[in-house]
Amino acid sequence: MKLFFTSLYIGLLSVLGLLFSCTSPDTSTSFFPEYALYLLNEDGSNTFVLLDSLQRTGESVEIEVPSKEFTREYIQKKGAFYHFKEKNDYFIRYQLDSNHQMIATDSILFKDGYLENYLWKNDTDTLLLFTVEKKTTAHARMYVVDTKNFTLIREEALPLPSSVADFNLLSIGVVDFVDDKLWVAYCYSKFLTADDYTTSDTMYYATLDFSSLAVLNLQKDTRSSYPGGVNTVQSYSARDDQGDFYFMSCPGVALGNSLSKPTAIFRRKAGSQQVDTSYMLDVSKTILNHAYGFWYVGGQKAIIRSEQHELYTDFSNHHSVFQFEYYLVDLATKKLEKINIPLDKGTRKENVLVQGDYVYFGIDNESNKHEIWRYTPAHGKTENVFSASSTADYILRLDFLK
Amino acid sequence: MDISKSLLEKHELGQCNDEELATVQAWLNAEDWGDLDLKKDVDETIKDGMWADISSAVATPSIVQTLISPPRISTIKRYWWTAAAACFIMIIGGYHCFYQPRKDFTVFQAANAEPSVISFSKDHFDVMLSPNSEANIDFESGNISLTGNIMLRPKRDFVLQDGRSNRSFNFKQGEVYFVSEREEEKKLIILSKREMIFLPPVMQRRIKQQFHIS
Repeated sequence: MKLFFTSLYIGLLSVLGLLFSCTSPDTSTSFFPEYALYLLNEDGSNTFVLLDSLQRTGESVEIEVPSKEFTREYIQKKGAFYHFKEKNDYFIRYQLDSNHQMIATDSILFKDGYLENYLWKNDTDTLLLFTVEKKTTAHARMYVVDTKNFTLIREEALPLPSSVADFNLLSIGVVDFVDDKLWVAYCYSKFLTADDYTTSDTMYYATLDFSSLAVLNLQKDTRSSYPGGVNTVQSYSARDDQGDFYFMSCPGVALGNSLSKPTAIFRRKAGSQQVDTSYMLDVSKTILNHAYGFWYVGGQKAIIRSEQHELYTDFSNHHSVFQFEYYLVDLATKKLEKINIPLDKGTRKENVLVQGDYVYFGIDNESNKHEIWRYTPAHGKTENVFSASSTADYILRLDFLK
Repeated sequence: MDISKSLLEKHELGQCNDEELATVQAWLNAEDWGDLDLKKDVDETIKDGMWADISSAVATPSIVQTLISPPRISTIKRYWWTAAAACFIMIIGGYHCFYQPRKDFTVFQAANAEPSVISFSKDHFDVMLSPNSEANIDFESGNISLTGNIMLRPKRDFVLQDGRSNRSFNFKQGEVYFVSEREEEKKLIILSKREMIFLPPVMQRRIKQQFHIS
């Protein structure tokens, strides 16, 4: 009997030993990516670099994008990726599988359009998407997607005029949702010649009843132009700790191309449908340049990314010149403080990530290094914490996957 | 890639792309000339066809006669002077024939007055012209000039200069370039396809519509 149990025990050990010795050192069991860099490489390809931390000691793996038509204009939440494929108007959901490949898991056919903006309704799984119709870019449409079941709940045309005077290109800027009301900032551009355009001197803010889409309030604001660009490409708005909503206009050459207007930050106070006409943080007046991109840090502070007009000629080299600086903006005192990190390149990037006490930047610097810089707003310290592969040309995005 | 007569002929005419050029160079430098069959004679039907083409082009009585009944050597001797003249004309004609394609790939000129995009495929590049565009690409002078917008896909690396701004651009094989004329600034804007994501959305959409990209 004793011999039987001994042999059983040895047998069990052998089986266990075999089981574990046969387990391959699969990265899927040991590596859980928390961050993703979306790169544009020197050969023109795009790749993701998945990282388990933004420290040099961490592990990383570089993966292909799921399709040729996949662009930087994706939406990412809790590790799921959503992308509108312009070519055939499918809205597609992607997921990283256990081998870290990005796999399409579902799709919804939309009507034809260009994606302008998105918004997570009350930070739930309901995603609001705003498009303009392709042919004229003058008619806006809203799609409401339940991302949990990945179904289209609703789609409807937005009651925004298709043009104002001869400005016939509609851009939906910043969007917000409070108390069952949809707030939409928008503007109109027009072509002056075959390849030169400008944006009108008025920003429009409409408050819509979410169920009926009836216009409850319409406000015009001529203090600046182009109230935010495509927010899959870059962020232009945020809500502060007190519930006040801030957004930045972008009349510079890379978006509105209405250069006489200043880049400025505006506010809509909590509970109000109206933009606060007594508040304007004139960025251009302070730094004598235009800026694009607005990321809220906390404690009434935000980061903006600004160009340097003396360093670029026009949009032929706006992206390739190392000109972009980052500022910490105090929304209360309206003071700007330059952040001590290398000059960056790349027009419009979603490369700023705020996490706890730190702000991370994906920087493409002059020595052709592609680095993650960590900034501590509390004491202004900056340090380089990670370098991406040398085949990269631009870090277009930095995403947190949790 | 295998060495063939047609490839060697292309090489002689300077029409090889990089890959073909590398193959021919490697073959020429190699000690072993492989199994290229240089002994095989030209197909009789091709020879006759070529002769017919040349004869109809030069259209001299003697050659018309050769079409009717192929002459023996003695007959040729009798018409020595005529044959010499025919050879001379053939050389001139040959030069003319080979000169034409050369010109075709050194200078490209096209205009698109149609409401849709038109495309051309040339030895050195493929090109698409948007509506109301004109393009002039001259490899002899190394200049590029245009009105409107074009998409250019080089089939080999080359350098072209924008005559108005005196700026040179390196065009790389395999890339696709968007080239746009900025009338007010009197210069060309040249962006590789991957750089087009940095253009303002309004511009990107205009270009997509012009070239029916989406």
